Amino acid sequence: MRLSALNKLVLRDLVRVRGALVTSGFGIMAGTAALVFFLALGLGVRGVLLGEVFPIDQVELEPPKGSSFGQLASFALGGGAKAPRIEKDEIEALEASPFVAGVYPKLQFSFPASARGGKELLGRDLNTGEMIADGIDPALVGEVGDLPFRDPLEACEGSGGCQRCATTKECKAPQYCEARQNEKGFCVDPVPAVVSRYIIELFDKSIAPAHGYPQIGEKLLSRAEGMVFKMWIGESYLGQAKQGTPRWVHARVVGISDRAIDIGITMPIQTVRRWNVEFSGDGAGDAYSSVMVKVAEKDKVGEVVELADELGLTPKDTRARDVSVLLSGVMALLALVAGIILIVSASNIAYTFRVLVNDRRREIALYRALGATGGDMMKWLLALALTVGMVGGAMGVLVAWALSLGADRLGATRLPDFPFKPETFFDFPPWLVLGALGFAALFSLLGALGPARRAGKVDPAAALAALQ
Amino acid sequence: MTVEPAEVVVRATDIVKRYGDGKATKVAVDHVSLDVEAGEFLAILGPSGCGKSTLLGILGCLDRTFEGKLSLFEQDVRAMRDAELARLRGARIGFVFQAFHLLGHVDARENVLAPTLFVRERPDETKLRKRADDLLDEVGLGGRGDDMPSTMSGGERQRLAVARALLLEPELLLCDEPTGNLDLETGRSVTELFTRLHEERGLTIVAVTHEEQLAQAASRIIRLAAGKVVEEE
Ligand SMILES: Nc1ncnc2c1ncn2[C@@H]1O[C@H](COP(=O)(O)OP(=O)(O)OP(=O)(O)O)[C@@H](O)[C@H]1O
Ligand SMILES: [Mg+2]
Repeated sequence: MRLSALNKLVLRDLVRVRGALVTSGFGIMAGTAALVFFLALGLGVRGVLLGEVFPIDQVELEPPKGSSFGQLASFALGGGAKAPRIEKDEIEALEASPFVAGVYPKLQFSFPASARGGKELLGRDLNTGEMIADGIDPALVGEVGDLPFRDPLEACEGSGGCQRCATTKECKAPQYCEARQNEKGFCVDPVPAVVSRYIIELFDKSIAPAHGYPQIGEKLLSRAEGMVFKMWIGESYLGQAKQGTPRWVHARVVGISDRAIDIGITMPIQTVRRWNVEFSGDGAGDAYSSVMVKVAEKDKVGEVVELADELGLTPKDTRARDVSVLLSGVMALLALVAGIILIVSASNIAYTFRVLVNDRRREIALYRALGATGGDMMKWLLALALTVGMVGGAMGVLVAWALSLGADRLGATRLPDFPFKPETFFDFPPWLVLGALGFAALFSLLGALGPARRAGKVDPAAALAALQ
Repeated sequence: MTVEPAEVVVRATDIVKRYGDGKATKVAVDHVSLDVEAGEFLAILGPSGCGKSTLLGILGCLDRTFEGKLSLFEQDVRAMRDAELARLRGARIGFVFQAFHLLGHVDARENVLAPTLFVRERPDETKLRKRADDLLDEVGLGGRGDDMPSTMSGGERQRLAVARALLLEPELLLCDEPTGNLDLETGRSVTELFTRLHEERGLTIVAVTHEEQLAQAASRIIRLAAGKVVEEE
């Protein structure tokens, strides 16, 4: 049967039996709208959670007994206890895996430290009693802002070198003198540090409003010169490092990175290595506390975790996975509800089309006499069902989209500002829209399949004779 | 596909058609053999229930559940697939049913054009519309192309059905009581139309009827009784 003829028959039906078709299409529309709305919501929320709150293209692995308390415990025991660490061959094994795009060991401060600063942004200086800091490979952080993220001493290796100094007074601000007590050093830029979006959001949305500080997220991002603060390294309220003399260093937050640890600051690993050796001895230079593994593809996290398991390493943070599993579960549940609506509307279509075919036995028989094959008659009804499905599906997508706009508007005006509050809670990737249309079409076709086959099997002689 | 006009358009040999099974079997067509030659106008007469419509359905290959041998245009119908038969019906056979079987949802012209829906090659729309209007003229329905069938009388509907059957210039016209529902006057005009088609165009016609008037116009008459051929003249 020619497409134009099929088209003609279907168009005639859209006029002839519009009432029944509208009823059938409405069910498909409702099912598709529910499917698209729920999935777009799930995808949108997951996008925010996994993209910004818990990025999932990386896993941090640590030795089994390690915890964030390991560091504190080792201070409490006077630095005597050895925290478990990651060995070189484990790092090499990870690097060899095809699922791994990069391996970046992390070095925690092996000495206590505290910090003071923030005046430029907050109006007055803040003190932290205990400073938590990690060192990571600058390559993992990449570009974060206008200022470089690297060990400031690297700048001294070039042709110009750096000015020698014994105290910070000899250096030009914002530079400071990076030198051990009673030794000569170099005037260098403040040590660059990155922070997590998490800590910024936490500060802006929870701490700042409660204590009357201004929000710093936007300012920090737009400030070319970053935020400079001073760190007292080698000593804190918790105690003193096992060797070396505590001293002041300068640091500067240069940007936000999702490679940064959630709470605390993250610095170039070379700087941390040097300070660890200074305050804890040679062994502390490569006593990696954990290793950040960049996953080659997002859905290969599982394989990487498996490999880590064989090496005796465990993921530090299972929140991303937990959240992902939870969200997938909720999405599956809601999609199931939408699926049930679609199944109900498919059976509604089945009923409507059965009645339609029964009413048209004569007409079908006539068409058969005029030259239509049984297959032509089947195609006719399936094309009609497909039209109902596509139109119903398209309207369902539009309804879902309109609902999402409404929901986002409500969210923007009625919901209080909370950490990571997105501009939209929805994500409509093309595959979702196409997939939903596909489902709408599929369920309509499934519903119409039985009646269409009956239409193809109408016995022309019997149907035409029945009226004599 | 170009085919020379067949000498024998229909060749039916020992056709048997049974309805039902077991004890309730009813033999509607009982060992009927008949040939229809090209250009013939054959009338099949017989009392109600003797199997005329059943036989016609078999000859038009609308019904394939029969015993015996049937060839149309010198092709064995039993050996053909459903789609081939449909194409054969569409291209070479025209049907006129006793109950009209018009499409109630489209106008007269679209009814005449209905067979083009199932033509494989894309038809020339304007040419076909012109032909449809000419045919309406020919059956005495000139200017009624835009009317709906429901606004037409029985005789007008019957003639509309004839125009539809002729649209694709069939070689064989199968008519089931084409004058059965008509009064004497309109019955006569349909009979005249058939005579003209037969004489002027050499159309092969098989018409089932119980009206002597139509039978007289035929070139040959077969009488059926209880599914059997009882007389040929
Ligand atoms: N679908 C069917 N099932 C069972 N019996 C049938 C069926 N169709 C027809 N018959 C029987 O077969 C016989 C022939 O029927 P057919 O319709 O061919 O008669 P006819 O000669 O066309 O009669 P009429 O002049 O009234 O149209 C009748 O006895 C009828 O009851
Ligand atoms: Mg009959």
